[in-house]
Amino acid sequence: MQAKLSTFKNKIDLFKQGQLKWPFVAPPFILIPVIIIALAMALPLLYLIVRVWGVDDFLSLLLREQTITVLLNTLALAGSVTLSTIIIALPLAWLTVRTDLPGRKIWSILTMVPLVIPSLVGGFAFVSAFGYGGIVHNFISDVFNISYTPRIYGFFGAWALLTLLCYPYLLLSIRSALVGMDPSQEEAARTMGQNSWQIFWKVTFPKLRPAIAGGGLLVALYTLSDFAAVSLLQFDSFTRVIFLQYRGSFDRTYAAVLALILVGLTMLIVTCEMWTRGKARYHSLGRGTKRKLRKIKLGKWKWPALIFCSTIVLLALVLPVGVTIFWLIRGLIHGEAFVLRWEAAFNSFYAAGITAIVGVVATLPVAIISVRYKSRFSKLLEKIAYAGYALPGIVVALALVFFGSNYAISFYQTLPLLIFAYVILFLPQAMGALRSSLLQVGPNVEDAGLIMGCSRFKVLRTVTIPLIRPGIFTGAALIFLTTMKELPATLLLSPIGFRSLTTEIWNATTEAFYTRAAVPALLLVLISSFSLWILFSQED
Amino acid sequence: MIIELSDITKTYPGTESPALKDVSFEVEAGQIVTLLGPSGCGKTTLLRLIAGLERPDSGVINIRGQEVAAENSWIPPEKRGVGMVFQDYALFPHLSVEDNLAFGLEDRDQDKIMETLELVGLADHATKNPAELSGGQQQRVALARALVRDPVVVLLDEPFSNLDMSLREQMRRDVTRIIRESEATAIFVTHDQKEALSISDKIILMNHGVVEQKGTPREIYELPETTFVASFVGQSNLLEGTIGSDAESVVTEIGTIPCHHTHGKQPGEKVTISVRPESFELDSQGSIQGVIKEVVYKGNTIDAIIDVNNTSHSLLIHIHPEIKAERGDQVSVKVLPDFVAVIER
Repeated sequence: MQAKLSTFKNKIDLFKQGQLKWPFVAPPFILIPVIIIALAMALPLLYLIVRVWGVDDFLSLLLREQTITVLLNTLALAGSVTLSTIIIALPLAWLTVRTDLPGRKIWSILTMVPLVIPSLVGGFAFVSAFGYGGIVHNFISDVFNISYTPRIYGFFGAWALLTLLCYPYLLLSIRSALVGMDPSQEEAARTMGQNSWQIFWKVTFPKLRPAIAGGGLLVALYTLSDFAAVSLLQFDSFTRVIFLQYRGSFDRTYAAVLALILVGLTMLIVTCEMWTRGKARYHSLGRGTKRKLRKIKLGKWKWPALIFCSTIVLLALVLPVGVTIFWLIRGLIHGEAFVLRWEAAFNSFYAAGITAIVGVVATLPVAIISVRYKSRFSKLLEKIAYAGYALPGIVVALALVFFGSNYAISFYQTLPLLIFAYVILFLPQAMGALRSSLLQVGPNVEDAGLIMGCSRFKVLRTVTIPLIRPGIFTGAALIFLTTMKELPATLLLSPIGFRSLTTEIWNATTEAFYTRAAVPALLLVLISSFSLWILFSQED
Repeated sequence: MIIELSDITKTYPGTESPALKDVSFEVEAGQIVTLLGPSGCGKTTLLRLIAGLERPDSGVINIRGQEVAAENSWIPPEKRGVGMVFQDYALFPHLSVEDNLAFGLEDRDQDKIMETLELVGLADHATKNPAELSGGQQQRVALARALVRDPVVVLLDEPFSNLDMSLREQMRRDVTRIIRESEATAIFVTHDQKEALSISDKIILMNHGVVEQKGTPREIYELPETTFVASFVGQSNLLEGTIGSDAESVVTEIGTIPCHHTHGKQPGEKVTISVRPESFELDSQGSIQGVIKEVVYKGNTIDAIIDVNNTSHSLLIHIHPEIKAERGDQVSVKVLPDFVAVIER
């Protein structure tokens, strides 16, 4: 051991004198943290695999009847939500981009705004409006004195809610494809004697297919990883069953098996999504002079179009916000003084703040390596660091629960482990902002610093970091805001007695104390509006 | 020798052919040396190797007698004491002009900073941000920043390529004057042969990662050693012939051309010669007769192409602009012997 240590020291000396080459392009103070981060990011998934590997009855677990049911449930939900969002988003996009719909600009904003409603808040609004003890239930049973059973639970409710929550993602992608489309092909078709309807199906629609595919895959991914909506509406898709399995039984291995299948599904979708992303760009960018698109006259179809738009906005935006405000006012009238537990808000802020700082510090070396020191090895590390993008929160949380309770018992149910989970989940959020700000700093500026006699580390500190400060703030803000909205990891990993805004809403909704959820829900909507505003202003 | 490179070879990962192959040259103190060549010839790589931003695969680099890069030694860029002016200037946008200069100084020496800024004529702009300055001013800040540490050598990577044509000539004069005044050694990288000829003490002409020719601007222009040099720097007429019996001339199809630089070739040996358009002079006693086929008036000179009588050869010659030359004119020309070079490759 002693001998080994001394040869190691010897090597470091040789390295310092330049007699031994550092075999990688990236300097050690970048590469070593990146490797550590990549390992940390891979930990949940690796641990799940290790956990399942040794199980004797793996096959019988995998082929349990329940597994098949859950798989079919999840696939049916993801498929039907994707389909229904296409049916909603395609006409909305076309109406708000290509026609003379009255108030087109306002509609194009209003139909996008539901992006700010987190699925937890949507679930709360839906259940507190139509569920047990909800507005409709109370009204019918109080006013008409009829015993009435709400029928929103299960597949129908989950499907309806997720459709309303997800369609804006698809709308976003179809809209941008429509806006960027070169009108000359449609004009050519018109000179060949085709009418508007024929042109849409023969010319426009085929060009929109990549955008629809890309947006649809995003919707499917959202549906697969969503926990709050399916759980509140009691539909047995993977995330809910994993949670119940973990909570309700001692058979945690089965929860791990389910989690692995879910990861397989999401990985598949993420891969498809990345593959279509390149194609969509290729199709939507029309080179050459861009002319104004001619607006199609709706004529007598104006009224049905307006009704369609207002129905969607009513259901996806007015309803959840209205319901939340209803419960808030009701709480105030009934004199419930503690509509908000300040402790919960403080905890959320505190945990999200630490996560933002840790997350940005962890993202920085990964972003630097992916922008400055491209190699096959660095690409692999970058991909691993992106794992959080494909891992549903419940999976990461479950893996860390196992890991913590078995190997790191002193960390189990402590804030550091919770923050670790947050960082794994939300590190990709900061990558985009950091990468694009790094790309704006010319590499020569860093070389100039080196030549002027500063070490690579000092150049990073005095040149690079000051120059990418805006990107660092944006990245930190995005991590902060996303962490505030997180539910499943918070439920599973938070220290005992730890309350956050999301767990407040969760508990209040599941226990039907709806007035208590109103203020945290409104806060979450504000928070997610803010994070979307950051994302969009970054794109300009 | 302040800088010595011997047998430098460098291949970038993922590429087949080497970016540099067995490149050797020296730079003396106080010299202005230019690395000239078309884009992709390896000249910028060479500059980055000297700076320490890249590491050679093999070969040795010495700076002021110290080995900075070799098989078993390596001095990183921050310890080499060189200065560099980048093509895009690479000024620190978050620092003022004086802070840009102070960046590399161990202890901030305000007198030294102001002295250097005065040298480049920007003392009044010390507290401004780089973004508030014009392109030419930014260029001078970059130069001042490179000079402020009294570097062993200043490396300039295509420093004038981002400037307007009108400004370029002026900056070229200013920058060379400043470098001469500060008695610094400088290595320029450029693809502009006119720039190289006008600013250098020594030109190193590169192509495809190898050195084609080293020499003073006069040697490079008047006595190109390879067909590449003859055609890349200025224009040239290439002719086949054999060395004459006096070893001071070359016999070609268009006549016997006097030549003082035969590289010790024996009479009778087959050679190619390069004759610059300026080497021809209209002279009624001239040995070469021909007809003017094309005339291009360029102000300071007239480019004329002459079909040599009784041969299939055409020659490009320069005619003094006061002479009225027209298409179809019969002319006689003679060759000035000092501008004729035997080409080795």
